[in-house]
Amino acid sequence: MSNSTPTTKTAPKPIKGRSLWSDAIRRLRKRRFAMVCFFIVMLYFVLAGVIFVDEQLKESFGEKGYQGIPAFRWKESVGPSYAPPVWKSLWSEEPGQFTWTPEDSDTEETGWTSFGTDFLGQSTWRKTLYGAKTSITVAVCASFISLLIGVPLGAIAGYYRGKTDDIIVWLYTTLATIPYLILLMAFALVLKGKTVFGIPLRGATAVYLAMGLTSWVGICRLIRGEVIKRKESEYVLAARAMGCSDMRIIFFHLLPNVFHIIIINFSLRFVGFIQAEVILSFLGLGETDKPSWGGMIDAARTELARDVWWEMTAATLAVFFISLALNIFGDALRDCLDPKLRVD
Amino acid sequence: MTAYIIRRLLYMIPIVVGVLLITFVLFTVIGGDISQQIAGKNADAETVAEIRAEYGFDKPYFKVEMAPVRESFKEDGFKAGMKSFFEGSQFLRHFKNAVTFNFGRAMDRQKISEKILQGVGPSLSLTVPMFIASLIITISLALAVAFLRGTAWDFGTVVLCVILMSVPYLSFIIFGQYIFAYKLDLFPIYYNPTEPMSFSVILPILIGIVASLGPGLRFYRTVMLDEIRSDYVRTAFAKGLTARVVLFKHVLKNAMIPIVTNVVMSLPRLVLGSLLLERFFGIPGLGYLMVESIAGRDFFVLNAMTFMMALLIVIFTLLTDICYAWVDPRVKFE
Repeated sequence: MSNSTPTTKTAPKPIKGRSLWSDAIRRLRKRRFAMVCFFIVMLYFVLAGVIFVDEQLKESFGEKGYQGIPAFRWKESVGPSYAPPVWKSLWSEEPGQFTWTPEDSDTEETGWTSFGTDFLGQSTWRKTLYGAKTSITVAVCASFISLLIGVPLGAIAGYYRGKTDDIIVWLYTTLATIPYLILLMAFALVLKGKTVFGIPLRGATAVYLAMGLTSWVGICRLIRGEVIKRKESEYVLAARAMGCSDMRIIFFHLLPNVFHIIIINFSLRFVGFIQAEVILSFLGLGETDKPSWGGMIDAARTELARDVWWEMTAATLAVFFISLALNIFGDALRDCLDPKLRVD
Repeated sequence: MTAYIIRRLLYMIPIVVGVLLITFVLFTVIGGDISQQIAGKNADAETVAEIRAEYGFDKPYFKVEMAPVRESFKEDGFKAGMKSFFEGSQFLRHFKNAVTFNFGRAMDRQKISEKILQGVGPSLSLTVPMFIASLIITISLALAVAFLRGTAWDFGTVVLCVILMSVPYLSFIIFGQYIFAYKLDLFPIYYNPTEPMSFSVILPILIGIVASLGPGLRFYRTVMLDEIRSDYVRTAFAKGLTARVVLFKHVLKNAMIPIVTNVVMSLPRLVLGSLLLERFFGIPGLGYLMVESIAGRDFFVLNAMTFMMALLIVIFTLLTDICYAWVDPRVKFE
């Protein structure tokens, strides 16, 4: 008798549902290689963040004697012009060590740099590290500007249709008609050195503004298509029946449901921004006062004639690793977040 | 069909006007009055004023003063009246110049239309062989990889594509030039006008092919995979057809639509040439002209080239759409 029916009834355990996001994260965790790539990307971001904080600290506490972290002091010369990297001695007779006389002292010093130096004797390694900050800043700001323009415009065009839609579609079709690189260069060229709303557009600012203003077309088109597809769905109808305003429906009901598309687009677009920054810096339209990977590649044009290959190699590898990691992670993210695109 | 073509032609007008507006705002409104720059630092006020008048910088941006225009219509007849109307504001002048392909002179006082015409030949001699070769290579590789899907070959190719895509384009050029032209001395480093063009463009063509292999192969592999998974392929294999017949007669033919779209849409870009390759190897094409004008802040040349490229792309988009409608009966003429 006692084992047939329990005397006290317990409520059935609630089954915890899995959201799209937790599902995606679970799937992503299983992909070891994608997680490694994510870790590499994070490493670049943390590096850029630390350099940024270090720079701010140096600005505020410079007089009190704060010198900054040694590895980020790219301005110092650490050796003579074009000192080769020390591991060159691995396969050549020439030792990587050098003796030189720094400007502020008379004594000769012996030293070595693991990645060599440039024309001014600045360390290639430190410049490469600093380049991460330049690149990441430009890519993050450009992404934000392009999302800030593209997402609301796309959502509004898709939701209201009619005249508004016509104008927005006309605007992005026109922009898409001009080849991207030309448009980008033209924007960067005319914006450089101008002052907009009291903000001087120097160096990196002009670059990311130009990138942001020219690259919102793709995301705008995507979001518009998705909103058109979803605006007749039940949850939108329910929200409207509850008396939600159009803006509330767009920004609190529709956009959260297409957010994964924004994330995927963002992760794949980021690589494009980093590579475009290199090309713009190379054309002399980018950051010129501070080290950037594009600037290093530009300098390498004259250096290679003297067989100075290390600056070029360092910048190439820096761009290569972050692009590779972002490409692989972005693909994995797309597979995990967009179930329709998933290939078995 | 005729109605569709006419409608598509009419749809071109707002796009072209939009492009003109963008170039106007970029190069004239934001770019600003550069007559002082053209005249040089030591020029007197008179010369500057003359140049300002030649380029129309002394006129308002949009608003036209109608009184002198009306007078000109009355006194000098229709033609002169129209002329003074279009000279009345900077935008109308910009509009008229672009539509009549009269772009005036560059900052070095050479005619812009001549400069552009001179550049088309060298650009095409670089980009056309590069485009055809890379198209053949990527499509045949994509077919092979799609056939071998799921094997180590397929995986290896995908990995190689991602690696090639991640190397910056500039590094391909600079290392290629350094190793093959400077160190091994197999090709000329820089274009020499006394030598034939075909000799100088070999290395840039090779570099261009390698650099475009990654994204191209990835794109065509996806296209082929979409086709190779379809039912008709299974049927064809079940009929006992050989792999060669299935791949070339069935899969390739059905994959033609995305391939042709991609090809036709890249054609206008061939005219532009390759900015960076031309810059590095000194090939005097349109890409080179573009980089030079950026360095010299020559907004007139940039303006003309932007407009011409946009016009080409608009025309090619139109052609693609018409071909689509013509080839594929499923396309509706909405």
